[in-house]
Amino acid sequence: MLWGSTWLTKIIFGLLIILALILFQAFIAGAVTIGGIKFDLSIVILIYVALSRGPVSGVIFGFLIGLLADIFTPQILGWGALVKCLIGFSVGSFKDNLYLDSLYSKGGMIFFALILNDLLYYIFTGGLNASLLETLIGYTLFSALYTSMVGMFIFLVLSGINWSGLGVERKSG
Amino acid sequence: MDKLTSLIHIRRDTFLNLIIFVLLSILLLILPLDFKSDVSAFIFKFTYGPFYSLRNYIKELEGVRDENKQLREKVVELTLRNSWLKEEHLENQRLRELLEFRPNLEYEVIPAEILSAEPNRRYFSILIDKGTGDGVRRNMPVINLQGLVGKVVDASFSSAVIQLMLDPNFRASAQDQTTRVFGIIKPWSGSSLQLDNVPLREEIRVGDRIITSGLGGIFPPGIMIGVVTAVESEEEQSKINRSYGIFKTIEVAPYVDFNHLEELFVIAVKR
Repeated sequence: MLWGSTWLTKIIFGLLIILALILFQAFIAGAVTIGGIKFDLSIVILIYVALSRGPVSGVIFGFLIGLLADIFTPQILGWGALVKCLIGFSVGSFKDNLYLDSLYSKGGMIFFALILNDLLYYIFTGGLNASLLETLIGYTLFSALYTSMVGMFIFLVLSGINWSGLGVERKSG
Repeated sequence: MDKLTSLIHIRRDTFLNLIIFVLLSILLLILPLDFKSDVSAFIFKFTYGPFYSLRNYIKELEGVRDENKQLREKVVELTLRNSWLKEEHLENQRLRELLEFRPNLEYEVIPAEILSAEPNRRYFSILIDKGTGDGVRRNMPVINLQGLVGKVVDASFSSAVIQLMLDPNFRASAQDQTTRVFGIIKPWSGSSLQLDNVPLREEIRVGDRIITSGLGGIFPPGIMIGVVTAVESEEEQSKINRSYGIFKTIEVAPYVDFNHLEELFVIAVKR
């Protein structure tokens, strides 16, 4: 939606989004954590990009965002990138079939994407065991709820911004 | 048909992109851990690194500001405490000195101020502002923080005359604090004193402290008088024929500075 028509503009906006994610992680993430439950802005951004730009942007952003998260755990470098790029591809490819016109549908998409992301992460790092369910219920579920609620608010704000007024060409999708 | 071709074309590009990034992810996964660590560190250095450093710097500054504020408060507190402790120390010193001049619990100390001091007068006496109305009586010893000053020779209701140790007629029973040798302290020449009646066989050394012995009933024991500055030997005494060689000639420098007398204390016996 907010991409320009030229590749340069796309790259600049893409880098700005990445920068925003990094700044959020460095300065804000700790402040918005509630009782250990974190807000995952990267998933919200990924869903937004995939819904607005399609599967290719979803794959690229998924890879980059996943890679940025993986550098904190070098032993699984590449796994987060793989998972998120698949999520980006899936959301971007099948968005027209998912009836995602309403805000709540998009919130639900964020919720399931985060559950899937964490599930695949815990299976890869710890395998299928009894504590997996405990972790998913005790942490991931609340994190997914928190992220999807705030994510819906972000989607609302972004959809309400007059991008054309800012000189940015709006593209449907 | 065109629509289908277009759709397949898009899908092919999409699948190509997907395969590229999936393969790239798998490649990263199978790389050795050392290499992955280096790659992670490299990416971190150029992405999160500068912002994390800035965040840590800001946190450090906040910590420094808080610490600075706490330290300033601590400095003020310690300065006040130091000042108070200094006062306590000085007061402690004064009290200790006063206690040392308090011979025993049987005596009462009456503080007095000097009304007139004429050390050049014949009797080497001074006038103080305490008299019989304050409990002062004749023959009461008079001291200051340094040591023995003299004794009361006359007292009216509100004043008293003090005979100083420098007076030629002054005598007091004294003792070497170290060797416990007895003698009589009397003025000698100028502002120095002499410890008399000390037999030749007795051991007294330069530097020994001389105190009141308590004998005679006037001066309580233990009051500081002075320090031995010279002891004439038997040979020297015979040579100059100053004595018959029975007693030592011992010079004593008084602790009290008689040219700068200020606070005095009259020692009274408690009834």
